[in-house]
Amino acid sequence: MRARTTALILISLLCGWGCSNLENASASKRNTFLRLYEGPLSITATDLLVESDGFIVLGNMTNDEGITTTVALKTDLEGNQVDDFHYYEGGTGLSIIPFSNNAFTGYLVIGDSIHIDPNAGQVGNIEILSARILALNENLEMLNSKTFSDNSANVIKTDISGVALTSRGDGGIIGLLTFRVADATLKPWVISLNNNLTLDWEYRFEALEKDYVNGKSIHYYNNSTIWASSLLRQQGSFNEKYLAINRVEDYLSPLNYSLLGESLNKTIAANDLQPAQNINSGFGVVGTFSETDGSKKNMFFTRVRNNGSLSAPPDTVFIDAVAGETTSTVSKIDETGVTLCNTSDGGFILAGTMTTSPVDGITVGNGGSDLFLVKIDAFRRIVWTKIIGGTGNETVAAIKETPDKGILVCGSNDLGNYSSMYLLKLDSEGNLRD
Amino acid sequence: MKRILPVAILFLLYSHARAQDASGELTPGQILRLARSTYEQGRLNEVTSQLDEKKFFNNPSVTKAEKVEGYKILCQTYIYLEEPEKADAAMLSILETDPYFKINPAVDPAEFVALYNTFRTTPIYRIGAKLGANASKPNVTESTSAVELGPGSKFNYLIGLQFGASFDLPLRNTNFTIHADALFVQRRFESKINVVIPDPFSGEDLENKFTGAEKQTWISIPITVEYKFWNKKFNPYVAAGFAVDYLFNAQMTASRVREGQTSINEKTIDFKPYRENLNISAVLAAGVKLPIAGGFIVPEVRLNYGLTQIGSKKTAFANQSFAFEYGYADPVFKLNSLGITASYIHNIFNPKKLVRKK
Repeated sequence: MRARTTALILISLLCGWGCSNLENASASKRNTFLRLYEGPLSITATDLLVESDGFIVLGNMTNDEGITTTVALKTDLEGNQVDDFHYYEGGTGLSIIPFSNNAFTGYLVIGDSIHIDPNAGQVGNIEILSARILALNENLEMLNSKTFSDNSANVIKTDISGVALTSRGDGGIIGLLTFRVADATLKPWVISLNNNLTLDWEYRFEALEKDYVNGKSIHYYNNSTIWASSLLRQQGSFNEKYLAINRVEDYLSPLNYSLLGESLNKTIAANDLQPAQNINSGFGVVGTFSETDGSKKNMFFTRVRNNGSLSAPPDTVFIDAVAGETTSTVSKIDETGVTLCNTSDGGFILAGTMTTSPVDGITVGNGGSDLFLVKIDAFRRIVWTKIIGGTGNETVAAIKETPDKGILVCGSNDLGNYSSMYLLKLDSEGNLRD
Repeated sequence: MKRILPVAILFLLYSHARAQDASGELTPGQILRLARSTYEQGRLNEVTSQLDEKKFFNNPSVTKAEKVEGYKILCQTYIYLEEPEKADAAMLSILETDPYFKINPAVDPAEFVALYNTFRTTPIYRIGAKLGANASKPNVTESTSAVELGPGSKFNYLIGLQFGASFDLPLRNTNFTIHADALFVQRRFESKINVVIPDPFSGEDLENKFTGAEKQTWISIPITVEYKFWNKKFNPYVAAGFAVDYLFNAQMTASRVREGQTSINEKTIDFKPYRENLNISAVLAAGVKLPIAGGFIVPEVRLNYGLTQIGSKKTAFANQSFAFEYGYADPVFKLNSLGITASYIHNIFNPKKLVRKK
């Protein structure tokens, strides 16, 4: 009896030791998270879509030969993958929007496809870019694609790239493309497609003389298409850029624009334009302000009216990761402004990167480049800044406010020449802490 | 005959003289035999003067056994002389000289046995040292991850060392003992996180593997109640109680192998900021106490079942750099530990007359 009692006690000891492991424990319910998505090769994130039941992350995977495949991934609201990666060979994906018509409900992805012909007679035709729009169903399976390429008799074919898509509000879509003829300047091309994806109108801005480096987003408001660009004036190794807010009315060809910094002799690279929570407050623009040799980089933010005109005088904030709000000429550490999103309090969250560097004897950053976030309130005041990252190079592709007023950031984490996508959900204060 | 008698007398006198020490006094052995003989002859009053403190008990050549027997004779003498206080003093002297002295009810007089039973003869406490090893493993209550967990992702136990001081407080006239330790405990465990990456182009799966070994150092104060469930010489017992631990130090050494890509080098990171400093565990144990010399050798098996969380949701991603580099996020977990130890505990006696409460 006593021996049996002892044996029972010892068996209980052994069984009771270590009840639940990773594989059988319930998943923690979290409001914030960090998830990494690794592919067989390096993947760079490009866009993010927030849906009621989860998120869609868009990226590009490149092999050693430089051939790029578009990748899309669906997750639940806690960042868990719903299924495997979806691959779309033959080109890149830069922007994704939800779409629905009589034929299907799903998504549209815009990017480039690259045709390589090493035996081409003209050097300019060895690589020919064409813009492509992919149609995906709700399960991210590809249904068909539409290509915008140079089918003319031109000796040297025009390179055409897809940049961004937006909904027109009536079921149609607006697309922003760029084109370059031979060695001419890079120019914008706006297309408007009906709900059945047939061309409604388009305009190629042939007459522009400077390189238009477009921001990553395009928007449609009040029968006008608005986007941000940087106009490039290259002199040797110095790149002088100034900001242009472009507005095109439906069916009308003239390009209206407002300029910022045209005579400053600096580099003002506008990278993204997004509407405020209330469109009557206009748009916010984020980008990178630096010297023409690329030094003294600061993130900048400026406000634009809903008709595309800039405030007079311009309402621009320059932000340094160490100094906070600063002047255009003071930069203690290099930052870039990449993208932004509006927040429900009327402000914006700006997202970019900062380069880890010593400042006054103290290392600022976690190594390489890190994610740099800035919260701006409705009165253009900086509320908080955050530096997030590891020892590798973290970059940002997209940022959104979620319905629970959290902040969702999508980007890439490059560690040892291998890049994976990340999805980062923070609370409204920018913290990764439940 | 006439010639032999004087020689014999001379021999006897010589022998008697030789038997005495150089100063002419009796040896302790002789004193004891004389006292025993005197007691048996009933000349009780002479016994007390023979077993003199100075001549016998304080004599450095007297052995412990001789002292005990001397005190025993004295005690019995005082019992029969109806001098209870002196009898008590003698009994106390027996127990102070030899705490392990036991009566023999079959041989010893009933009055002596009765007097013995009025004294505290068991140890008041035991103190000793403990050394052993443990195997620790997290009990994950909520899983948190920075990557998609693949097959084989789990925590494994690792072996740690522990040592410290032990303390027993036997509860008189019961089979219960209160036991406490003050231990320096090293707890180690390993986490393995695997990510499976399907490669649609080759048709094969790639695998990225994270390995992290965490080492924690605790100061632990377990307190248990032992119950001796079998009246055997090896004193088997079971015990239950709780332990309160304070985290002194925690470090994780991590590395990540990425198939087809460069691996992430091994790095050791201070993990104490991401751990709760205080841990409370339920304790279950079983062991035996093997009598040896003045105490016991105690081999024991003990389970510490964590009741409080070591890792929390709040600190899951606290080390962002670690999360980005290694794809590791802390789950919410408690810590269980199975230990095997051996200790030596020494009996500490303080014999005294027990006062019966009225």
